[in-house]
Amino acid sequence: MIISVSAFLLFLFFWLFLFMPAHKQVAALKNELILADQQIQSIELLLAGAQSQDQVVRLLKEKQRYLSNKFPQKEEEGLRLIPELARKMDIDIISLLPGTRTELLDASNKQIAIENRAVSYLPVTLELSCYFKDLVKYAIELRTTFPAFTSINSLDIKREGQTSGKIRANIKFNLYLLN
Amino acid sequence: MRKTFLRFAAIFIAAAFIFSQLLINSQISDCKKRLKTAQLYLQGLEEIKNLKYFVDTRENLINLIRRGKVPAEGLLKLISAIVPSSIILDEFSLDQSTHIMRLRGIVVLGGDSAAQALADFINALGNSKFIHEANLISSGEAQGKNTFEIECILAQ
Repeated sequence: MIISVSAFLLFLFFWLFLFMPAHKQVAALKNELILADQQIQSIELLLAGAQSQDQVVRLLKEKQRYLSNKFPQKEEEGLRLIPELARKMDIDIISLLPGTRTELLDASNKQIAIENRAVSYLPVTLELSCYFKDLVKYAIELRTTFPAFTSINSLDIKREGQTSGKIRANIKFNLYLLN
Repeated sequence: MRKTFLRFAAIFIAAAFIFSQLLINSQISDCKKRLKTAQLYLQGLEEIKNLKYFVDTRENLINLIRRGKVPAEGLLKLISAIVPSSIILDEFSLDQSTHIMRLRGIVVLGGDSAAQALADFINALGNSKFIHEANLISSGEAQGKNTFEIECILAQ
């Protein structure tokens, strides 16, 4: 009788204080492992087709550098650089008229936001006098290297005279900003 | 006999307990190793995940802004590349809201050559990925010049 009770108590002790906690620890570790595996799989899906992880990081960092200054908070810098860029390309600015900063809305009139910041745009009307080839370069620079994302809405070009070869261009574009 | 049986039973149960404990310990150790490896790998990937999220968010915004618009600089580049020396453009207008581009100008050639130059120009416009359709709206002779107007419906 004493032996049976002792054996049972020993078994109970072993079960409660050694086996059960160890079993729980295994279950918790397995859950953590599953979670980590799921996260890895979701990221590896992003890497599908890429040659190496380093290459992906390099490409993404290049894109990040380019995109990080494409949506400034303030319009002043962009407005200052519009004529500066034009001057560098031998373009005469006849007039530069910024409009009112407006929030960008989606098709259902909802405010568009990224990184918890609302997206807005500043309409700009620009009148220029230049050669056509310089206008092409200017439009390319506005899209690529200009430190704000721009989108041309309308463009009107007329020849200034029959002999000068210069044109008069009226460009309406939006300068996009993050609040 | 009974004592011997009990001894054997006790030894067997103790061995079973020890074996199961060893098994669980080895499982714990294995899980910890795998978890450590996975977490290290995940740390390396975390940077990619964050970068990708940043890039995707902004690229999606850019795509949203550009939706339904053609790149104006692309059109300007196209025009400067395909306008032949026999055509002089006087006016160019582009409206992204109506998806219309209009070109007015003169052809410095005369007769059939003028018509051919204009037809080739319209074809070149129509072959561009930015332009859905290019049509000659008017052409004629005014003050000794072959004038024309072309309207292009832009691709959306």
